[in-house]
Amino acid sequence: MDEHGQLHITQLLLDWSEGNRSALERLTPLVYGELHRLAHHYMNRERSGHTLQTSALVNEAFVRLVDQKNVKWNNRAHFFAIAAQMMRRILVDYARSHLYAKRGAGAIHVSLDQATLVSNEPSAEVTALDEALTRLESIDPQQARVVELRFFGGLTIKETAEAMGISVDMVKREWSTAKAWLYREMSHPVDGTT
Amino acid sequence: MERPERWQEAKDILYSALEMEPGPRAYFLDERCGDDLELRKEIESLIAAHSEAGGRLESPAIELMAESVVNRDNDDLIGGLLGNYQVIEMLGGGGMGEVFLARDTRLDRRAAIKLLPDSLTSNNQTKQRFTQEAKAASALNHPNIITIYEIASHNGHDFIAMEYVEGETIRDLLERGRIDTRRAIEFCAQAASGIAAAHEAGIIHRDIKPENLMVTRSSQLKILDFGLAKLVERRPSLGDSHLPTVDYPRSNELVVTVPGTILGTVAYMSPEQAEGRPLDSRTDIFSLGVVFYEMITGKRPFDGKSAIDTLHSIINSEPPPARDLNVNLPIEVEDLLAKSLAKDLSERYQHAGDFELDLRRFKRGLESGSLPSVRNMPHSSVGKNSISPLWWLAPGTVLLGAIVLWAYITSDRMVTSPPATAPSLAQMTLSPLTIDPGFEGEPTFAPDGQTIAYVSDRTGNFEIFLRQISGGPDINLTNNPADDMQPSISPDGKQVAFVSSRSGVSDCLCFFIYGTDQPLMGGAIWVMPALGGSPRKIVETGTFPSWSPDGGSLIFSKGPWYGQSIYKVPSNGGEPQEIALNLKKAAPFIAYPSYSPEGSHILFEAANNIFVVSSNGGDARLVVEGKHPVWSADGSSIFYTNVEAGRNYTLWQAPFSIQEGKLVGEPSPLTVGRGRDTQPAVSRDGKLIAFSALDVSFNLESVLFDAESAKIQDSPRPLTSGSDLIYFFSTPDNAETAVFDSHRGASSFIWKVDETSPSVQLTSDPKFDDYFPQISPDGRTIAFNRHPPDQPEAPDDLWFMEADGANPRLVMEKAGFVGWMPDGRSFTYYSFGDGQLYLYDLQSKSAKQITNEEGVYAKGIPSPDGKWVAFMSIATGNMDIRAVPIEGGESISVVATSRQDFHPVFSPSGKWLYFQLDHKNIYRVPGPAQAWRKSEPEKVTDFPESGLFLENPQISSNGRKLIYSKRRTGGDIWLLTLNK
Repeated sequence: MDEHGQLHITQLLLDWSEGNRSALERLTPLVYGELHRLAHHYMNRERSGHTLQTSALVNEAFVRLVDQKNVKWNNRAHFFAIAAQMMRRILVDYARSHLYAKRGAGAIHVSLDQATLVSNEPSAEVTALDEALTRLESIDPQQARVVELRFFGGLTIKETAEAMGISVDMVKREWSTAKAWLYREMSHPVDGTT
Repeated sequence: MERPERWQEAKDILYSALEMEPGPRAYFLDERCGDDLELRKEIESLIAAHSEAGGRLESPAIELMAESVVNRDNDDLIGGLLGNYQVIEMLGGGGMGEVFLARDTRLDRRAAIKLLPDSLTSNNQTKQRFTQEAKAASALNHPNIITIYEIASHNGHDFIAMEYVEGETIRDLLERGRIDTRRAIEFCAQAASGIAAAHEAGIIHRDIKPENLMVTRSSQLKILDFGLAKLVERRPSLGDSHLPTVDYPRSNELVVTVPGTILGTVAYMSPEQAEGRPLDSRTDIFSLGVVFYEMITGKRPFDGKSAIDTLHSIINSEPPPARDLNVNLPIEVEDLLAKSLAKDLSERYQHAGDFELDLRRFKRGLESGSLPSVRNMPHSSVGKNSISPLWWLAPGTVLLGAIVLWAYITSDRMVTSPPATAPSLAQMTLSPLTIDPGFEGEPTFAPDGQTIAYVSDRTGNFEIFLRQISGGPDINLTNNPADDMQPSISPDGKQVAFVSSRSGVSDCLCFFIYGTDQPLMGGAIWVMPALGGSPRKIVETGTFPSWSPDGGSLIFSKGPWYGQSIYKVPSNGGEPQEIALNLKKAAPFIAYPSYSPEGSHILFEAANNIFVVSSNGGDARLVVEGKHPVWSADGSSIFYTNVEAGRNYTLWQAPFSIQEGKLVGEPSPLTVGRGRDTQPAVSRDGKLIAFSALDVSFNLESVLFDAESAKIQDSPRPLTSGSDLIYFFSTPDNAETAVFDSHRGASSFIWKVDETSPSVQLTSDPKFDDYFPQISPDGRTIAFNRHPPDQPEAPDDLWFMEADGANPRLVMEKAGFVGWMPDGRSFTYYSFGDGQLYLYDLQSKSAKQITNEEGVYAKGIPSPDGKWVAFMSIATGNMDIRAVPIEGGESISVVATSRQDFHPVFSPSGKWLYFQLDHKNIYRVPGPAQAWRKSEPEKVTDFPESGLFLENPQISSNGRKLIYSKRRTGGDIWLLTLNK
């Protein structure tokens, strides 16, 4: 990543965090390589039995992408939030294309049934979770952010609490109940009330 | 449940309910939901979903996806090309990246390809450090270290191509339980040997663990991933203050560079690694000790419930005694473990070589039943601290240069009895006699067996010193600004014969060109009293003097540069007489003649072969391939340096019959050859063998200069480093890159290097020695000489390949030494058929003879205007430089000094012809653009000449750089004691 590319990405991220949706469209392909790097890194560490903190990896990926000198994050929550959102976007995009490649065009809109979940297809699980999370956002934005930080950002309960400025107990509460809600959504996505 | 406020209500109830046991939960729900059945149903379905979900969603998404991303990337690679490698299948993943089996499409051999994680190489600085380190590691040439072929990059994938070894890792073996003690010792000793070699080259592994130790089917151990651990260790820190920080336990943090990621497998870390202190080579010794413990006990010495626990234990706890875990272990093993697992660096083995030696002694003792604990008493009655120090751990033994061996190569022999003439391991000790920096070599014994004369360059030039083996000060015997070498003490101990350059420049001690230990030759032979006094010149020109058993005469070698004979001269002076030899095949460079103990025969070396001949001369008989032979004290065996492929310059002993004039038994090794073990000398009582362990390298250097004014403008900078032996090279551009030949191991191959990347190996077919690479002016084609290594007398063939090593192809048989014409459309070559230079036109594919004379010495160098070809000639017996018009005709003499004139090279303007005197300093004379004006050679470089050896100087095409290969020689003398 040259300096120019880094600046470019930084600007897009800032645009995006200020609500410019088209910035994200242009951002995704630029950071795609980072996903591969991260995944390889993860697997290599995993195989060799090294312990590993996902949040550190995600942060590291993010730090590499973004020109830290020229961007002032409002606070740590802002930093984590952007990093987690970006991871979500990249991972979900990847998962969709993976499923697409596997099953053909008809399966882009994945409606996940119990069987698929049990079949342990990570791409399907990630895609389904993303869809359920989007629905959760509309009814409980704070809870959705907890999930985003935990699941996509890789933060621990404690890190999430720090990043969001809420108590650990609150995070536990949000996380535990979100899991129930999301899992039910993912297992029975079409409940007619939509 | 889509209304936000409704969900907030449900969430409260749900969270409390989830915390409860089913009984109270029902009660709680009755109370909280009351009549709101919809809410009750909602909560119950969420509780059910929660319990179904179990551990799902607890793993971060990247963890879920990583495998699928990686597998897909890898699927994309398999079957495809990665540089020159066709990827066949995935072999596995390791801490450092995925490993694939691949086929090298250029060389049609298998290779293992290790993909480096992008994350480790994406940072330029990290990557640069990595390539430096990997370059150094790739220069390691040791049977116990996996060979790295190249480090390259393709489509953004950085990868390492290396030797593909079929076998299992020590980890695989350990998974089947603990390893047989003797096998474990052997593996550990081999690992220590490889580690010692790397340490000598200044490379620390840092991540020795069972996964990195591979055992082949023939039980040879290979260490993987040398130099790679550093890549991880030196990652940049994310130290910016506004970045998120996360708290981690202290002991963890210190080994962490990126927060939260522990590097290395903690169980094999040294205490200094666990504490994040600076590391030196002793960290590898500790880690190997951990592996050794695990091999012989089946358990790790430091093992905690978590990584932090384990680190704590490494830093603070002593491991359980190994014998508690394996009662069959002799008590002596505890001492080995204590010395390898010592937390205090000063109490640990200081050198991996010491560890290896102790392991081998231990193994030997174990097998012969001579360990004190085995010999004297049953295990159970031996107190833990009752034996110390152990006799087999020779105190104070420092092992750097070489190691006594035996079991190493022929472990079967250990079980049966060793051959009668070979000293058994238990009867030998090895110790260094000198440990000075620089060169110490050429030992020779006085008849008392207690005094050694040897050569050292510690004064700045070569002098002969005397030393008592038992200690005491060195005496500088020769003490003269000239070089004095090759001492030989007379049988009565009263005189020393030696070779010296003191009588003038014409006696320059030049290097003997054949073979890589390259002693000096030339000079005059002098004799002086062994206790000091005035030297007398005995022979005007001669080298390698050696006394007759009666002390009445000396034999030595003498002759023109290419083709000496053995001569004999009375030791008080007189006319030398040639001992006429009849060698079946031409064998130049006769060296190291020596009389058998009763004086009837002479042993000598010629071109890497050892011959024996009657002391009256006549038919010489080939004894064995090797260098520098000497007789044993009673003449029943010979000692020599084995230079066969894979023997790595080791010292060997072979039973010999003077009557039959041949070997009468199998040769056996005495050393493993950390250095080049050579120049043996035997004491008169036969109990001591002194030898030198040499360290020789030839590396490229460049220096800024101006080819017109001949001004040197800077100090030399290295272009290559390590254990290279580079003789010939060429640079297509302004010395930004160079292609060179290098004898790293048994063979010579062609490599390429530039100023920023590691060397890349371009050829590697073991069926050939490749040398003299000449890159075409457009930088696209490399011409080189190719030769079958097992047929020294066979002519070379001329080959071409692409600049990246692709498409090697035979261009002409019995030809070589290409000189490219400036336009690159034709080249000169040397024909091995008639010994003449030819011009070959690539378009018309026709050759035209250029020279027509005797003594053309191989390479032709076209002038920049393409009108002349300079070449070396040995027509007069001396090496001279001549030039011939490109269209043929009479050649002219350009340089013909009384010394050896080597390696002509033109300045880009053609005004000057640079050359070397005796492979030492560089001179120049006017070139064709000055109509070959006659002039005294002008000295260009001013290197101190003692020990100097430059090879093949070149001038970059812009005339701004002078590049040459420079030899460095270090060495120490070792003493092998045979306690018969």
